[in-house]
Parts: sequence; C-alpha cells; structure tokens
Amino acid sequence: MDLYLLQQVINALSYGSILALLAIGYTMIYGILGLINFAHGEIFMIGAFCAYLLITFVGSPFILGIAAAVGGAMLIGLFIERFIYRPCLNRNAEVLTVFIASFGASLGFRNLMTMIYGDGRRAFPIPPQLDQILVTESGLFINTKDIWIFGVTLILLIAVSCFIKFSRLGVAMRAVAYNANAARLVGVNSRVIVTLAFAIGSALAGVSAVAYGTSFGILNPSMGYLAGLNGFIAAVLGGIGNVPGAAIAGFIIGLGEVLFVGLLPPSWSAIRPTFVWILLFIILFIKPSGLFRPNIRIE
Amino acid sequence: MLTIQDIYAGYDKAVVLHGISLDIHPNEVVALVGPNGAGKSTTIRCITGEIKPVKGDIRFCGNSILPLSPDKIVPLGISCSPEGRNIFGNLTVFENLRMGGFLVRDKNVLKERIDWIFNLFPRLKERHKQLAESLSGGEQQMLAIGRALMSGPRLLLLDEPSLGIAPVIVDSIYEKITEISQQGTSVLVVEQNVGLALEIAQRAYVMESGKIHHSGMSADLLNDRYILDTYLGVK
Repeated sequence: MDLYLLQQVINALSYGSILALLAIGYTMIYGILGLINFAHGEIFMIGAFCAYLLITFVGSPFILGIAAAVGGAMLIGLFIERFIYRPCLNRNAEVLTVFIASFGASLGFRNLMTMIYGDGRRAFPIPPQLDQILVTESGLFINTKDIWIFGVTLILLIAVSCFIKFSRLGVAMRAVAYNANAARLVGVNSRVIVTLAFAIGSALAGVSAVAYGTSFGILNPSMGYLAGLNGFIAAVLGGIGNVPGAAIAGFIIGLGEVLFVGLLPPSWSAIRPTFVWILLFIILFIKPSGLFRPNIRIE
Repeated sequence: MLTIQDIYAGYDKAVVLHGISLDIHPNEVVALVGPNGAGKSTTIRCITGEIKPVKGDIRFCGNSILPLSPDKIVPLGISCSPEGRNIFGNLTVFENLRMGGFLVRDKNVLKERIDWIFNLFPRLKERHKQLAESLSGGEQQMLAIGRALMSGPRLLLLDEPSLGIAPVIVDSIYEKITEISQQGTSVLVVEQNVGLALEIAQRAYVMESGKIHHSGMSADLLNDRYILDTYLGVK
C-alpha cells in the first residue's frame, strides 16, 4: 500500500505542477485587480496551440516550442488586459461588468479556436528522449517527463516567489494588492504593475500548457476549461493573492485528485472532475480565506 | 514653493472646495485647520493629484502640477502621509519604508534615509521585521510619516497625524515633525486639533465650509478672539 501511495504521489507530480503554474496567474491578477480572469484557461490553451503548431507543422525543436507557448500566452494575456479589462476599468465598470467581460473573453477565444481547429483532440508532440519509463528496484514506475516537468516547475516557482518576496517590483505588487491608492501615493504606476502581473501569470500559463501537453499527450480548444477551473480553485485554496500559497495549493489539489481517483474502484474514475468541487465546498464552508494568508486587504 | 490658486474641487457633482488659495514657502511648517467636513483632506488630495480641481491651479516650484497623476507628482518632491495612515498592512515595516522609496534607485541614498528614519523613530527600527498591521496606531502613524519621507520630499503633507492616537504619542510625533522641518523639508499639516497644530506651525489657514476663513501667523491666530472662542474653547 505504501508503494502504491508513493506511486500515486509520483503520478500527481506533473498534474500538480500544471495546476500550481496556472494558479499563480489567477492569484496575482485577482490580488491586484480584484478580478477573476476567466480567460486565463484560454491563455493556457493558446499557449499549448502555439507550441503544437510550431513543433508539428514547422518542425521546430521542442525548446522553441516552449518559447512559442510562453510568448504566445504572454501576447494573448497582454492583449486581453489591454483591450478587454483596461477599457472596463478605465470606465470604472461594476464588478459584474468586468466579470462578464472576462467570461466573454474566455468563451470568445475558446470558440474562435474551435472554429479554426475543431474541438477534436490532437496529439501533442512529445520528444521521445523526454518520455522514458524508469523502474526502480522497489518497483516504482517513474516517467522522466514527470521529473522534468516537476523540476522546471519547482525552479520557476522558487524564482517567482523570490521575485515577489525580495524584488522592488515584487514588493510593489504586494503593496498594490493591499492598497492601490496608497501605492500611487508613493509613486507606483499601478498600470505597470497590472501589466507585469498579466505578463508573469500568462508566461507561467504558457509553461503550464507545455507541461499539460507533455504530460497528457493531447490538446484541444476546450482544454483550458477544466484545467483553468482547477487552477482557480487552487488560487482560492492557497489564500487569494498569495503566490507561494497558490503554488502549494496547486500541488495539494493535483495530489488530492489523483489519490481520490486512485483510492476509488477503477469503474468510478469518471467522477474525477467532481473532486475539486467537493474540495471547493469544503473550503468555502470551513475556511473561505484559504489555507494560507490572503495577500489582499480584508475590509 | 507651493501655490494653490483659487481651486474649486469636489466629488462627482458635489463641490467641496469653493475657491481655496494658499501658499507654502521653503522651510516652513504650515497648518491647515478647521472642523470636520471643512474640506481639509480634499485640499490635500488635490495637491497629491488624487482629485482634480474643476477650476483654479496648483503650482509647485513654478510649474502647474494639475495635469499630473499622483505617481508623477511624487518624484517632483511632494509626498503625503494620508488620512487614516493607509500603511501596507501585509508588508513588514522595512518593506513599507522601501515602498516609500520606490522611485529612489540609489541604494546608498535608500540606506541613508532608512537609517535617518530609524533614528527619528527608534520604535520602527525595533519592529522593522514585523508586519505593519501588527503595529499600534501611533507606530502606524510613525510608519506612514517615515514612508512619506523615504522619497526625500521637499514638501511633506501630513493629513491628521494625531487622529486616534494616544496624546503622549501625539506629542512625540509632533516633536518629530518640528525636527523634520528643521532638516529642510516644508510641512503642510492638516489638523482638527487646532491648538496642537498652531503650536508647531509658523503660519496657519483656518478652513470652514470649503473656504479659507482666516489665515495668518500662528502667534496672531492664537490671540484671535474668533479662533479662541470657536476652536480653543477659551471664553
């Protein structure tokens, strides 16, 4: 049983990484703008398509595919910020208006991509040298791609956490999240901070998209819906606005979901997506502020 | 140094300021006093750029600052400790001060200023690693003033630095305000506590219902029958 549990933990590493990277985008943008960016899942999906198109049809090396996913996701993220949210915020739109705009952006991009590519699943190109299965002496199966995904994610999470904790702009991000007006009074241009949050969040969504494609081997225009939802719930669980919290919560959800299915009879595996909902229910009942300290002003 | 010329300003359609004019000269402590709702904080928020007057002009060192947003006014040398302090509760004391010096790129200058502020308010030094929200009201006020000083302002705006703070601490904060002004920073202090403000200011403006009702040297105002009757309760 111990070996079985350990195997499940290993199986959850990639999925947890994907959610952790996604959760940071939600939590940063919510912390700074008080806005749930529902289109974050679509930023992720477009990142995956950028990598897929470049590698499969142009024959680029995998590393360039990663760069394309990051670059494409950032472009779309900044596009959404500039042309969808900023016009709303400049007009002092109501929360509900921005919420609907965010929903519209999500549906719009998902359906646009479905119109172009169809909603069938496509095979994500995984380099064979990344996809080796190792068997340990004790009988654990370890796929090298999971180790790669987890390793790269860990490095990025540490880098982003250090940036938020120690750098001048990172401190400014936390200050804007707490009190944007006071931040303006010390000379912080909050637009720069908002743009930065979208850029970082979207870039990580791009990395997450490549991790998703590599891990599951597939992509399609609606891939961002469920992954995005789980990433969002991880952001809530981690204490909204708290970047390391979101990352840890991403791993908790990834592991929880894998264990949830792993411990149930195989014929029940279809209920896997209900796990996050059950978890969200429990969080909202017991500790709505999340496991870790939220980084927003609680009024 | 700062000249406010006949400004009218307010919120949405409600005009709060009806033609305010005032001057602040270099190395001066000026008080802006008056009852609750007179428009003192609105005046401050016009200077910081948070509110744009509908009429009139605000000039700093000869140039109009009306078109500038708050984050463009700070680097000119105006900084503010706002009403209610508005410190960053989720940041440590040290990080709050660092944010105050957000626009200062020179590490040595930053360090000098932090040392100076720790010298001015030793309590902040003792608690520099603590989250700012865990500070007492008086310490938060010290932090708000320290944060405003980090940008190296030529004009420091203090909005109600005595609000909700124990009288003993208020006295010590006011001593520090005098000390700050002696080191070459002009100060505009907004107060409801008229007696307190007139003690440290060289000049004062008395505001009522969005207008300057009285102005002059503090010493003269302290002997003014109207001021004594209305604000200081001396009969």
